Amino acid sequence: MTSQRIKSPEAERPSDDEIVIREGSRNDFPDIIALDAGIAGISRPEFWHEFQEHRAATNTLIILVARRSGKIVGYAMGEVRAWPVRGPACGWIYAIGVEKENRQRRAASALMTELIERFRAQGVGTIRTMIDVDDHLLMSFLRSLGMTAGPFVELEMSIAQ
Amino acid sequence: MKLQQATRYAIWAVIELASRPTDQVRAQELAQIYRISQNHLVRVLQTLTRANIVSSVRGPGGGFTFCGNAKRLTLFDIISLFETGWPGEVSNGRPPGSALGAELSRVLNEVDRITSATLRSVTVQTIINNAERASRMRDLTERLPKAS
Repeated sequence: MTSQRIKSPEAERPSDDEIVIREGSRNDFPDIIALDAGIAGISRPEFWHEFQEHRAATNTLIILVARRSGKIVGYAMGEVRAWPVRGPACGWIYAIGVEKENRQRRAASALMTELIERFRAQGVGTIRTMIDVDDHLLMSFLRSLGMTAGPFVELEMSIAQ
Repeated sequence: MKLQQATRYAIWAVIELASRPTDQVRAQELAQIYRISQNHLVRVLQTLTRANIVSSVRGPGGGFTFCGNAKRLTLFDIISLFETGWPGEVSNGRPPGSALGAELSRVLNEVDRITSATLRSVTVQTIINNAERASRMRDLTERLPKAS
């Protein structure tokens, strides 16, 4: 298991103040679910439980957590998938989030760096994600890393009767 | 998306100045870099100065300097200074109560929503970083031995 230590930009903070990136374990899910609810403003445990089951069944899902002083303050989740069918497999980022109080500490950048390294190790050359068109903050962050619009557009239609 | 000339000049000027944050750049130099009218550019720079995006120093050795926050300033912020009524006026001209007009309006709003999201999420710093990244990649590619 690899881990990445990110020192806070302010000089000489105590070491327990550092952001540490580690592999997320099964035991981390309750904290991740609670953190996600705080960030998204909506509780969606079924979303996470589905991924928990998927990870147990396939072992392909990458779940990373960012810890500060032992507490989980961020998470990232992704997987290498040959989807959409056109083109080679790519690294899909399913979720990334950092607690509001712990932003500006490069936790999200560190999570992305580690996730990208994991994807590279599996031989993929492209990463992709799908985000809310009105989430300008997240979009701005991902663009700041160099991500741009890809060749696919999400379309949807209500089929409710 | 069609932008007015002043808007395009403003974007170029801001990005150029932000990429050289310690330089005082004269309007004449900026106009030469982008091959644009200096008189028109000066008016644009005055608007940017009033918006506290650039600052100016008069006299010999003077010029314009970027004084905004490149990590926060988005293309949308710059465009909003020069383009009025955008986005949000796409439904003008449709016949009231027309289903076809409403559908056309929905499609145009869809375009505007995506455009707006893109412009709101691209900061001046992102443009500078991406340009530098692309330049580094180009240099790297050129240094690689060519396959015979």
